[in-house]
Amino acid sequence: MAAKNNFRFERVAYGYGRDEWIFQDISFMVDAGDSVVLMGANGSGKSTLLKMMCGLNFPSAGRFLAFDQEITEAVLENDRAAKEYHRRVGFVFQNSEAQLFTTSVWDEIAFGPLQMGLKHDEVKERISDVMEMFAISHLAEKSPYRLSGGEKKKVALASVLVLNPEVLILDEPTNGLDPKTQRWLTELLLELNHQGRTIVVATHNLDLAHAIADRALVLSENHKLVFDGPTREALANHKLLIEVNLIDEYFHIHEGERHIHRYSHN
Amino acid sequence: MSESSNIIVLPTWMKENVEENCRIRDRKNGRRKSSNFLTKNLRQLREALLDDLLTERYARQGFWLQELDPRFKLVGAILAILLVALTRSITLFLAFWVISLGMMWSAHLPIWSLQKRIWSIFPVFTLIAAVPAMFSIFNPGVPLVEIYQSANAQQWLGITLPSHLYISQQGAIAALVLFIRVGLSISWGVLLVITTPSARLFKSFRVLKVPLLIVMILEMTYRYLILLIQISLDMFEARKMRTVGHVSLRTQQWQVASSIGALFIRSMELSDEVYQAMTARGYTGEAVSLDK
Repeated sequence: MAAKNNFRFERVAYGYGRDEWIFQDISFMVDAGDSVVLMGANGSGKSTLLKMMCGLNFPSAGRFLAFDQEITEAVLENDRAAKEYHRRVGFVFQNSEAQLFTTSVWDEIAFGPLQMGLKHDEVKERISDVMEMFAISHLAEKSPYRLSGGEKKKVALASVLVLNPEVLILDEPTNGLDPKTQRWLTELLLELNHQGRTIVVATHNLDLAHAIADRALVLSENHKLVFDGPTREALANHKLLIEVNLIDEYFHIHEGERHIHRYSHN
Repeated sequence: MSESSNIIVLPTWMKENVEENCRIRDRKNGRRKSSNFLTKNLRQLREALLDDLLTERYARQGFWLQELDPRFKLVGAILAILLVALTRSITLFLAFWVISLGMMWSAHLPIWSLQKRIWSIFPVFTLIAAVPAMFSIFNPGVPLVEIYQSANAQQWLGITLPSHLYISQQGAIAALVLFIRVGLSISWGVLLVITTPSARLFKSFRVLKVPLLIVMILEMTYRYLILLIQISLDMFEARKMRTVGHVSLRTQQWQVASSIGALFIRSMELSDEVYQAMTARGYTGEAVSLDK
């Protein structure tokens, strides 16, 4: 049986004015259980594309379908439909400061389940479980501005995962995280994908892309989808990565290990 | 892409000896740097607002006032502020001030520095705003300080001036009472806020049946006010680090104006993102809350 579609983009464009396109003519599908990485240089339109998947902005042209239904502003104007959609699709913002808007970690994690109308006992149980899973129970009473960067990212993730979404979308999740927290995040995403969650991640971190995603979508600097295929192929295609400005020509492999120099060998 | 585009060529002046290039001049006998005022104030703002409130340094000490149920503290502070606003008795004013000092002492708060902060800003501004109310035009009564007196009403630029202008005793007392009220109200407010962790304080608002939407707005205002102050302090400090020597008043004004503009744009972007983050977790305009 063919895999069920989570998302389908049909010649989608998004822009501000007549000629100011964030991206244009984008067509691809994301199946249930996929792990997809969206790569592209700064300003290529990754964040906007992710926000569209999350139902936060809508196509200027073309069609965007999620769970076999076209998603338009009119559809999500219905509160029940919006709540259901946001329960199924979780979004972790690049800027944790924007995502953590309450005054305590506990309230932050409780926000989503309460909006969804879950019973209070269930909400408390879920919060307790998710805090234990992330080892952040000791932060329950802390204010977001008293957390470190890594703790903020963990709380932001916990506040989304507490809703148990089918699809988890993350925008530049490893930005500003130390190597240990990056590794923890990688393992978490792999485990969630292994459990059947669809994972979509936008990043320039090639190591993260390599570690978590089977499939890569690459956006060019002129806002077009220029690659849709296995991540290994995308990462091995240096000509493509140079063209989209993700690497330069000093990027190369040493005895099977990839690393980037700040200088040339010549 | 050609290889040459990746080679970074330093301009000649960047390769020169830094020590030779940038000697620090001895300004022993020179003017005092005007930036000291801004630096000192920035440091004090960071200490007062961010270090004390943000770290909840005093709120997390285990003395009796910190341990007291925030609901009692909230009700107590509201009652005290209401009484201060309604009474005109000097004895009561004095009593409220002494009690607030006693509470600060017993909660191991820095009394002197708090008193300086409490009485030196808002009450003084209030007093300045209350200056017109001291004059006989608004508050006639027993003259305290004569300004002028003439037989007939004078005309000046088409405005009729009163024949007798003075600062009245009643007016002076009204301004003084206002000054004391503002100072005491701030004292009690500070006592509440500085000894209670913000999350518990906002929770006590909910317990006292303040509408959830209002509590939520207050919480978010507090949360992002601190974030924006942090951003603006960083902006000022980053600018200060790159400012060498005397900067003209006009340039300083331009710098402040551009910083305000940049901060406004950032706050607008942030508010958009916060709303999107709320929507992404199912917010449709109706706030829901739960206490542990």
